[in-house]
Amino acid sequence: MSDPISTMKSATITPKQGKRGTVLLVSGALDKALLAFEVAAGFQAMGMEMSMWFVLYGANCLRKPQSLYSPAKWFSPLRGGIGRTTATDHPLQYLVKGLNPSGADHLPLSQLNFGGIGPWIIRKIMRRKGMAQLEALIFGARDLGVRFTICQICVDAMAFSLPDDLIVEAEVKGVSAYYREVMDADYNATL
Amino acid sequence: MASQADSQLDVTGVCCPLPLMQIAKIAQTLQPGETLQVTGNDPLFESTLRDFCACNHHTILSVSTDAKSSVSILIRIGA
Repeated sequence: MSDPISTMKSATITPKQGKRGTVLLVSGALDKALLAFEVAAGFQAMGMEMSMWFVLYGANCLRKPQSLYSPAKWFSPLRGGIGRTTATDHPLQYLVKGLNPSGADHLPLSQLNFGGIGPWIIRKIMRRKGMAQLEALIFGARDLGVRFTICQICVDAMAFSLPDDLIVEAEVKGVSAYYREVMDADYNATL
Repeated sequence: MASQADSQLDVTGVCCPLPLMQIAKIAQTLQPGETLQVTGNDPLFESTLRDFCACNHHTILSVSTDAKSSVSILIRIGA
């Protein structure tokens, strides 16, 4: 079986029909993130211009992988970045940053998580079946031309340092930009 | 049959939506009128490709199924 992503070429999809869609990911669960990326990447491949928005725990899947047990995850200083206001940072943000899973590899399931065994089982089945893992879908969606946007207040509250903390490029915008995209779009989903 | 196509793509062994994503990538790099031979064994492969062609103005020229239930489809890229 060939590697699904490496066989893709680097050109991005330019939509032919001028249709647009948005997917808003709120949940940090593996099952919902998988669904969001499958819909976004699939729709983009069908010719729709897709835009993905990440708020709250939804942004966890875009973070660089970091183990829950690594000291850097808990103790590295809060850094500035796009959309951050470091002057109003609070020490409890270390806790928020540490407790939120870092990376698509570490997301729990919304149901039947069994303390981390559930995602391992799902991943094993998906690998066996030749299905795309979440990381592959994220990079596949990016390569197809899906745009990623993160909510500014979530970036600030959860102390993400953009662009260093993310595995893909993402814009930082607010609700007014989301309103404009949603009103222009033919398809809107919230997960 | 395979020798007639300008480009070929093998998506055997991967599931929805990966065949669609890969075909869309390749189709984007081809010129209108060129042909693409796609082979896959996903249960939804043929219907996926028919939907993709219908929505993106491509034409299906031929469909053939071999003994190992992999489907080979020749499409012509539309304008």
